[in-house]
Amino acid sequence: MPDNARNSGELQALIDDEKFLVRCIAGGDRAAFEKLYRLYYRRLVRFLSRMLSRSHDAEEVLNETMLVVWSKSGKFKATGKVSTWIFGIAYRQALRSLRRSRGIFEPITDDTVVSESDATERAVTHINLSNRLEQVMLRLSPEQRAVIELTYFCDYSYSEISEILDCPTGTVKTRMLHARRKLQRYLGSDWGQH
Amino acid sequence: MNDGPQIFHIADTAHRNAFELLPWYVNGTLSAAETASVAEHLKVCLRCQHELAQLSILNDVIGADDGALTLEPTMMRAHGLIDAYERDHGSNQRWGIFRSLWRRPTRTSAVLAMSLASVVVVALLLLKFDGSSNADFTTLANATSKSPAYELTIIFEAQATHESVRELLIDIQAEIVHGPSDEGGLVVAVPRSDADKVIAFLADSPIVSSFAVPERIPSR
Repeated sequence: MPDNARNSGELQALIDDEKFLVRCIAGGDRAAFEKLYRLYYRRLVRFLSRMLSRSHDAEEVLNETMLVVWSKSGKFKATGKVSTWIFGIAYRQALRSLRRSRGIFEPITDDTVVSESDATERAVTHINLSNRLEQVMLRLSPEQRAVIELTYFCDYSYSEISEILDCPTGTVKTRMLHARRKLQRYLGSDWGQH
Repeated sequence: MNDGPQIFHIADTAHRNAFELLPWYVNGTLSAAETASVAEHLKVCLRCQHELAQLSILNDVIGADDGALTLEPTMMRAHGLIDAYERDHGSNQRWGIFRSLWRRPTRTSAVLAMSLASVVVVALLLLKFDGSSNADFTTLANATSKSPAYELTIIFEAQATHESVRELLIDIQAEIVHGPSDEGGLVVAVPRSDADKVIAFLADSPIVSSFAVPERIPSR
């Protein structure tokens, strides 16, 4: 198990600081907006890149997300977490972007994959797991990609992910199970031997 | 009895629960009770041990940093988007402040206040024109003439009472413009169409000592 121990005092201070920033943004404070932007930039670009598969699209959707943060900051509920609120907005913006470009970044279905095991074997030799994972992630649905990314990159709990994706915790667990099965199938022995 | 690692069937509830929670066991976000439960199950489940090893690799690979990113130019574009948004929605937002103030409680209070004010104004008007009120000549003299046509100066007899003067003024539909003077005279306005009748009425009235007809009143 990795060392994910968090200092609860520091974490609470960070959460309070982010809520303060959102309140300032609601009052039209651009400096507060910049600070929040810097805090979330890397995480959001990474999350959206995985969701959308292209960094250019990710940055565009990131700015659409932050524009929503700017315009809706007055409606943020102080009882919630700023991070789950922002990631929820980013997730919905990503799905909207995917719908706009439907057909280009649709997940590759099993029917379209010809001899997956052969393809895996050819690729394994020269591509490391990280690069291979980039390709395999595209075979997941956007919802499954979101669950994987929010869990492993953003370190969210399943209840936080259910809040971000606006679905029950059972749905989060089911999406994760399906994603894991697909990753095992497509990564094959490459995963286990890493 | 074998206490070592085993392969559990997926239908086993404890196994299924632990298997589902493994990703969040790896990222360390489970509750203490869930963590303990998964850890306990891992001791005896070969399938979950293998899965945990794979998920830990996945966690390391996905969790790795992507390297340099271009924050500043992207953030500048975000500011541009906000500028455009503010141009399009700025005026609406400004009015939005007033709209937000004009919420239901405020609106209800305002309507009640206006209704109450209307009632007060009507009551004051009724009081002002009530015949039984204590209005004297001064009060009547301060009343604004609505549509004066001709002004007459009337001098009353000494025995004329307050009430008799009032009845006369009502009879001729006169409105006091000025008075009473030291001689007991009133300047009143009468409708143009009734000028001849008013003059005849005043001439016959026992409480009128005399009255002056201005030049613009047609002479009899």
